[in-house]
Amino acid sequence: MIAALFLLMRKGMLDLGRSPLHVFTGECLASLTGLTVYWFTSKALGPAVNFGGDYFTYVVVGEVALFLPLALWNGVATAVRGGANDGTLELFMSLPRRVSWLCALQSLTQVPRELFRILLMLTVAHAIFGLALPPHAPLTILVISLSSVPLFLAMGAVAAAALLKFRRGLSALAHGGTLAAVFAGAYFPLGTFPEPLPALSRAASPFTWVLTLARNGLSGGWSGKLAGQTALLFLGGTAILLLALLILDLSFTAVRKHGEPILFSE
Amino acid sequence: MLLQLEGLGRRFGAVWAFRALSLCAERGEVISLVGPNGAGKTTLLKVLSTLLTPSEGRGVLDGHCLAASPAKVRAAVAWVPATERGFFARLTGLQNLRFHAGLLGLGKKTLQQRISGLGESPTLEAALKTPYYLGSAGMRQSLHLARALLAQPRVLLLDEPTRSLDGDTRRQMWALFQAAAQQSLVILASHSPEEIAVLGARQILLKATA
Repeated sequence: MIAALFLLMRKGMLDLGRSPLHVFTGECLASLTGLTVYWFTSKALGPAVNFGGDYFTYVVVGEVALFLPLALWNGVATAVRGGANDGTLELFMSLPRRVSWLCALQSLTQVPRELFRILLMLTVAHAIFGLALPPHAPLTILVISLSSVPLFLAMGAVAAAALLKFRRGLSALAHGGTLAAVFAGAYFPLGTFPEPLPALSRAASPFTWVLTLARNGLSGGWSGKLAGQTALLFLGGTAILLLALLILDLSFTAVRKHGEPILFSE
Repeated sequence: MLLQLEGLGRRFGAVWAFRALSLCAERGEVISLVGPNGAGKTTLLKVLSTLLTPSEGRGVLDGHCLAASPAKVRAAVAWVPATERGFFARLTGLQNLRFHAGLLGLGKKTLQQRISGLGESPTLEAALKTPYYLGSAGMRQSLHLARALLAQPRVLLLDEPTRSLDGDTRRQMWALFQAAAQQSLVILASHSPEEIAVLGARQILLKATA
């Protein structure tokens, strides 16, 4: 039943009336454009900067490892805002189902697309730009990305609760995600930044945890330690998700109490 | 008593949408909320559907307090909004109904039975096949009503459900309301004296408070 709901929701939210070929071509072009920029940036930097390998590999791994976390970070808030605009949110609020659960499910509809984008970018990077990663790399990145879903869904739910409270903040959320990716070391090594930013990032940023896991998984392969850390990421994230959904439910309760129309500004 | 309201009121800041409303209603009744624009008809329906909490007074629906047990109240009511929004635009009417049936835990077979139980309606039949964004106002409203009736609610809340429909479609809708009233309490906001007369509705007059 949940699978059927998920598929209908996914079609309802993501089907923009374009053919699959259209969508696929668009995604290919987007990947190609991004990779071309990274490729020439890598050439320009040359050996001047040491990334523990070439810059192209470094940045492509950083980019794809954070596709799913970034999508989920914005996902619940985007679902809430979209639902407020098209009226689905108000209808959901009248149903005997937890609204937080429905918003989370809406956010999850992005997961298949983001997984596809990961595989597509790695394929294009390998086929056209000669990206050399170990054979287990795609699977490693997919497993770590999927393990991070509960945690980033939880963060997205809390962000959506803040959006409902303040009636604004979607742009700030997007900028926050970009900054989090930068300070996670997606584009530059953490050592580039002055202290205490690297220490803070390692200690408190889930984006950094996921990226570090992915880089360790690619460089050292799967080990017991890495598997344990990945399982901890999933289980800890699931526990936090339960709490985050409660917080989102409380914010909907506040909306019912205050009764102002759910309108958002940037 | 299916619905009991005692001194119910709702305000937005300092402005009361409605207040001091007392009402008792039982299954099988049709109640029409009448009054000028701004009298609080839509707000009252939203309070009854728990989209809004009451600011004062007490309301009990199907044995559950509106303020204290909103989730249980939601299981007993179905709300049809005044707007045509609320469905996924790219899905057909049937896909949208499948989605809502899924939320209610209804399988495909039960969904089909309940749609058939709504009787023959060319407007609904067209709505089921048409992507929601391409549907006419009549199709959209009939779909909203079908969605509400899928749940077989104890209380059906309708906010100006026939306001933009042609004569034939309106009469089809009225037949559905009358059928629903056999099993449920139907409360509708309406500006149409003809509609109120046809449905034999008890009128509750709301006056603008501001």
